Amino acid sequence: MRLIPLIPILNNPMMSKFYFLYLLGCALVQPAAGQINFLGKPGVMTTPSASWEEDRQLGFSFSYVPREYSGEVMGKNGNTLHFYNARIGISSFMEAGINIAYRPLFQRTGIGDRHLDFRFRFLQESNYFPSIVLGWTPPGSAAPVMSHDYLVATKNIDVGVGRFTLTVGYGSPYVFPRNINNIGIWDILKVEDKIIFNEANYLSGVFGSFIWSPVDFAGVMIEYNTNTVNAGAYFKLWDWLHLQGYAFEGKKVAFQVAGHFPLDFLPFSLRKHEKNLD
Amino acid sequence: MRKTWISLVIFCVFCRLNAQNSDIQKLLFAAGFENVQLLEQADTLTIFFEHREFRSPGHSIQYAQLLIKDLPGKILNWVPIYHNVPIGTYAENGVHFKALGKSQRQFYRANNEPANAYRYHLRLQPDLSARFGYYSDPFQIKFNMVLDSRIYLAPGLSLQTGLLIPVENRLDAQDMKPRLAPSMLHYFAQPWNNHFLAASIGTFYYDRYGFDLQYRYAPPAGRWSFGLETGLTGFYRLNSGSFYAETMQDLYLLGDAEYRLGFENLSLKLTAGQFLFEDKGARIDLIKQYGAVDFGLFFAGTQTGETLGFQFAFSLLPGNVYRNQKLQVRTTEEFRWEYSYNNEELVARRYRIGMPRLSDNLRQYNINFIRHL
Repeated sequence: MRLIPLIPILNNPMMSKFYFLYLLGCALVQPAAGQINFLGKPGVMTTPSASWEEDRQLGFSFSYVPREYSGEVMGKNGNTLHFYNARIGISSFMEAGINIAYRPLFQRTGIGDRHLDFRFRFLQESNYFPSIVLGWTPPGSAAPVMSHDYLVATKNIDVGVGRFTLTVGYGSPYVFPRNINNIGIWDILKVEDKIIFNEANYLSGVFGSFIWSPVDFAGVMIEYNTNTVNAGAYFKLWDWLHLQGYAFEGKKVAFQVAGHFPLDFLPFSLRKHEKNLD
Repeated sequence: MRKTWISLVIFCVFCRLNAQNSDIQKLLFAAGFENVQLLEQADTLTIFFEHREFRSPGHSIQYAQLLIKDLPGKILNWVPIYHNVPIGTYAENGVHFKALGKSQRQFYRANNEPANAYRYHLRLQPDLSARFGYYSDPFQIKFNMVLDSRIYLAPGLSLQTGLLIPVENRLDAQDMKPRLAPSMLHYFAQPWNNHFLAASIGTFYYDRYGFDLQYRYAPPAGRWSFGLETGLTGFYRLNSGSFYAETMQDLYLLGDAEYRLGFENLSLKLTAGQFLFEDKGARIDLIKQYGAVDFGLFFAGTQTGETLGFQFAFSLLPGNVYRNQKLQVRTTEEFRWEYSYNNEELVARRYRIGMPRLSDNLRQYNINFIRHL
């Protein structure tokens, strides 16, 4: 929101330098977003948060979940999981994400389970208020094993020894699979208890996470995903490349790699010319 | 004697201005601008140009402005040309839009020489089709590299043709020999301001051949735009040099209304009618323009079924590969790819003609978008 009124200034080549300085200033005061969970949504480890990626609208990530805990985050499972995720910020209040869950050790696997969901931001973080985000999965999938509907709030607090990021959320205890035996348009969907349907208690109820970032490029984190308590650390290699490693209940290690890219760049020839002018 | 002096001074000033103008023409042409025409009026200089490397005229105006910097005492007006047809005047450094005036149209008609004003372009365009998820082969991919060109024959009339080189095919039975790329005769016009017309005849992508017609009312200064698209096509295939074609009897006819929301370059578009394979239904699109990249989400419901998916479009890197006075080798100005969740049923299918559709292209010319670029 803060960036929008300044964008027309970019048309003026002289002002774009000031804009760059302004962006640099923002980077120093704004909390460094970019941590994502195993599904590629802003968050940590296995829980989502209400963080919002402002400047890098496109994200790709890969995550690994060990066999012993795959059933805890994606029901009826028992297989090692590889997640391939993409996320795209469509506006300052709407983001879409897709996931492919691939089971590398499974015989008849195809490309894996596909999943699409959306995030909507209701409130932008300010000095006193947290950011609030609604995560929503369009209902009607035949096997909604990755469906999550949640409301979550996140607040960053600068303390003397770095930054604390606090997240609290509530996950819906229901899933809405497709009713194969429907007779009309009104009973296309079924309502099922998520815990019974997925045979796992994941993200149904109150969840939360806590990050401590003593420096800009690294931090430690702990979370409760309504089922297990997990802890780990993140490391930012470059602004666009982030690594995360964590352990489920301190027992089995999982990790993820994420890349974040801006989409509002100029064509290559124009960028090259601007560079030559500078 | 005095008269001679005055005429000499006037002559010198005129020469200087002319020299300056031809310098601008040369400078812009060297940077990849084509069909550059300069119309000089009292205190304004109107620059007509076509720049085929960038998708958005906003970027080409930015580029041209950086190249020629400031002309003292002159207001610069820009008239981007698309497929040899001027679209409109982007006045005062591209901040305001004005429809074309009679004098501008006359000037352009008098100076437009389609045969001489362009370089010969070789365009690299990847062509990717894929089907995901079969157990036997989860990634059924068909990937071709197209090397094609557009040759301007007459005002607004062009021929697009080239060579298609198959790289990989795990999707269907077509062979791997190089063959003729989709080739069509294309006519584009703006008969009245804000009304656009595009007609194509030839072979298209998605194995279609036949006739395609598009009409669009799209004022670049407005929020609403409306379009009609129709085509009569049939299936064709080139295999080992032989040409197989089914009768041209598949009619598609679509009407659409698009509304620009006015913030963050978002547009909503509702399309309804008969899609390819005589599939009647509707499709709703949410489209975001980031600048050089477009991304859209869509939902479609037809007689065949429902589907949900996304599409994206962007100029391929690096843009210009090689350029001299006569020739330019470049990557495509628009690579578009669409993913549909429902890959079993052919829901709300269309075909690509080998160049951006009018709606996708004219969206780039909207003044609201250019202003926020």
